[in-house]
Amino acid sequence: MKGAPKRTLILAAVILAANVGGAYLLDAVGLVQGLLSPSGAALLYLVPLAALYYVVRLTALFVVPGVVLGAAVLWLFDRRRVSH
Amino acid sequence: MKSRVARWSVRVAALVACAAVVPQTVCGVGAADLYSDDLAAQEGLARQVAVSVTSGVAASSFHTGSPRFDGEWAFGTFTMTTMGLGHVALSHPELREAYVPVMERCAEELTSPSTNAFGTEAWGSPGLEGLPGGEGHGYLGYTNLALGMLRLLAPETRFAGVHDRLTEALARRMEASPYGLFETYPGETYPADMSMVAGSIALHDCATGRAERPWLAGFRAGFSRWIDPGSGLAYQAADAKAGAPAGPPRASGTALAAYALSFLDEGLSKRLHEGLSRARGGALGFGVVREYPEGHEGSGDIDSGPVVLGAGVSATGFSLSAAKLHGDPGMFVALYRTAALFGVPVQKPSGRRFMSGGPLGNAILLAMTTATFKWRSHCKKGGGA
Repeated sequence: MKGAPKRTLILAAVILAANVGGAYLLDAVGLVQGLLSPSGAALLYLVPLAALYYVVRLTALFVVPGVVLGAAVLWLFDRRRVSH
Repeated sequence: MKSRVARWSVRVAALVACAAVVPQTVCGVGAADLYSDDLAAQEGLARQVAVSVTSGVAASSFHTGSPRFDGEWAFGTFTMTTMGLGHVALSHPELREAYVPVMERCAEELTSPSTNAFGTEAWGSPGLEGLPGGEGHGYLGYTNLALGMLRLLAPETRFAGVHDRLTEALARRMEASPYGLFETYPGETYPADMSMVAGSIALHDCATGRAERPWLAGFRAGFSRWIDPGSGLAYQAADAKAGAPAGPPRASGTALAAYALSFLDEGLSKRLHEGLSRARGGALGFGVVREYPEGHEGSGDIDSGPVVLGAGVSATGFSLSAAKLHGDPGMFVALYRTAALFGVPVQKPSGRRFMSGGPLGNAILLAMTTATFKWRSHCKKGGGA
């Protein structure tokens, strides 16, 4: 796999893992109950956490697959060119 | 591929192609199974919702900033849980034994003074006392619909007495109202709530074998007054005395009414579904329902939930039931994908739930994704729509 887009794959794996793991984390900390809580302390960290999570989720679903596919196609083209 | 332009073209093409295919595929997992009443798909969410209500959902669990809304949310959670579990038991009778006790627990809460405190405070007297006398308290249509679903599955339920008295009270109030509407709270009247009242009376009569009440035909015919001819959406609020709309047509109330009226009149419910179909928007396989029709602007409130770029959260979620009931799998799947994208399904040992739904959101999604006409086959002879 020499020359494989390793950085792209690692970054993609991290974002995908954050998408899945973040959902369970926010579920465990009680996102909805926390957002509805009258205590302002919970809002201080839950609102940015939820916003960050949705950025990660939208990136994981709408951006990451295309970036990985694009990198993989270019890598295959480059490898074919080198072998010829 | 040496050219910089060519390399970027490949990247952009891959990005666009994947964005058009992958998210809708991932978020659509399970949607077709829910549409076809698949046991595993329904039971995962049903178990989680059942666990949630039996572990103690009360008005004190919610903190919307308004005691009335906190109470309404707890009330809504018990109503939607009963309806959802009832739908699941109708589709899979082997689950009836497991879910009827949970539905009875919800009925206990729905008829308790603490859950009804928000209505008692608004009216100055408890809505469930002195039945079948009294006036107003239109929110009790939700309780009555839930009791009807329980009665359908458990005819000998201990809530049969209160169900009969409440139905009689709501029927008297509706029959006495000149435009088929009475107040939910003093000075506040909502056609969607009255759809719930009418649907609940029809479901009661189905469950008990009572012949259809003659005045219900008039309600059906008169409901057109509350549907905006331009958009096909129902007006959100009305003036019960003047018989005139008191606000714009909106999709959140329309979607709720389409569900409730499915127990009374399939055609009327379908007519509302057609209005919702016209309010449908979306992209890349994801569907939303716009809260306000063209020509009307508005922000979100406690009924609609957040309105983002015109799309209503409640309208989108509630419209799942109408899409399912009226045979629109394309709309159902598209709306479900949106619910999954932002609701974020998580798998737990006790089932499946939506991370951002909370008790009320999960109960609503259960009721809306499992809606069915299978209740008809349980009607006693002489009853039913």
